[in-house]
Amino acid sequence: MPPHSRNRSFSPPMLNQSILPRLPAGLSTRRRVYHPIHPNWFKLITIIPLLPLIVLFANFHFFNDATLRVLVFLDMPPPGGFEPVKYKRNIPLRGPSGVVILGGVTAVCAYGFYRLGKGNLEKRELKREATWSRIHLVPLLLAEGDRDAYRRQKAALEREKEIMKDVPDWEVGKSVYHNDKYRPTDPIVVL
Amino acid sequence: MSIFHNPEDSSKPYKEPTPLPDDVPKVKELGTTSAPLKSAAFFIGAHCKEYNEDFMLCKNENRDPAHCLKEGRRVTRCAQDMITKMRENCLQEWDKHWNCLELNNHEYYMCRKPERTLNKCMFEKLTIPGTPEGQTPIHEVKRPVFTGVQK
Repeated sequence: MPPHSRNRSFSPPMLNQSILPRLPAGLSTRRRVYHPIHPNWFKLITIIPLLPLIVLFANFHFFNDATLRVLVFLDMPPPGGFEPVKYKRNIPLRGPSGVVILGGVTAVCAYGFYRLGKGNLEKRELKREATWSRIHLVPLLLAEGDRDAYRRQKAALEREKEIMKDVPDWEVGKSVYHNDKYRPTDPIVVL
Repeated sequence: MSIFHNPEDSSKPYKEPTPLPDDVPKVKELGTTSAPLKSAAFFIGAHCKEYNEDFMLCKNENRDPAHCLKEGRRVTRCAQDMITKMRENCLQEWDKHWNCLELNNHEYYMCRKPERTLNKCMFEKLTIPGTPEGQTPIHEVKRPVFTGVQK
């Protein structure tokens, strides 16, 4: 007998389909969905109990010798045999090479440094602008501060004159230094 | 007898009530705060260039406040004049610019848009040149690197 390969349906190929008992009419018209794991339950329910009888009948009807041929579903290899087992390593060379990767990294870094340089140059110009704005404003702020300082200095001198009026040989406003260079007075607040 | 109080420790600044002596000519002080001054800095600098330079050279001779009172008065009057002109001609643009500066830590780069309108107004009405700084002046750079986050 030729070797039998497992099919999805459970109907044995060696037997004549026409002599098999037909399924009840109601069930056979139903759409048959064969799952690889779950067989058609209706067919199982109806055929499997009859299979031993079918086997026996087929054996004694079709074969003249006394050996019993039993229907078996053998787990045989697929037609053409299995593919050869892959035991050799398969690590293909793919993707960018090391040089390309480093080149990409260098390109990104170079672009980053370029942008950084541009930003630094602009920062320098912004600082220049801020400094020049200060330069333009310094004289008028300084003049205002000078007037205020002069006023306070005069008031302090007056106070000194008032306080030291009875002290002989006191020169009001005399500098303690021999150098004529102007030195701002230390802030002493009389409260 | 008066106790010495270190002014650095005091919580209030000492206000000297005595006014300027009468022999010093009076000058109308600028009432502006820092933001309008910063906004108008380049215009004041261009308009009052000679007076500012004169004052700084005088200061270079002697740091005594009494020595440079006259030049200081001239500087203040020139700046006052400039500010009056700006108020007459470009008040709204100037207000917008210095209010923008107030909101942005007095950074020029954050307020380029109002600055451009102010410059335009000033150049049309008062024809004052800007400060030359090199290739493209920083306030005229088209696509700056440093901008505000929100447009």
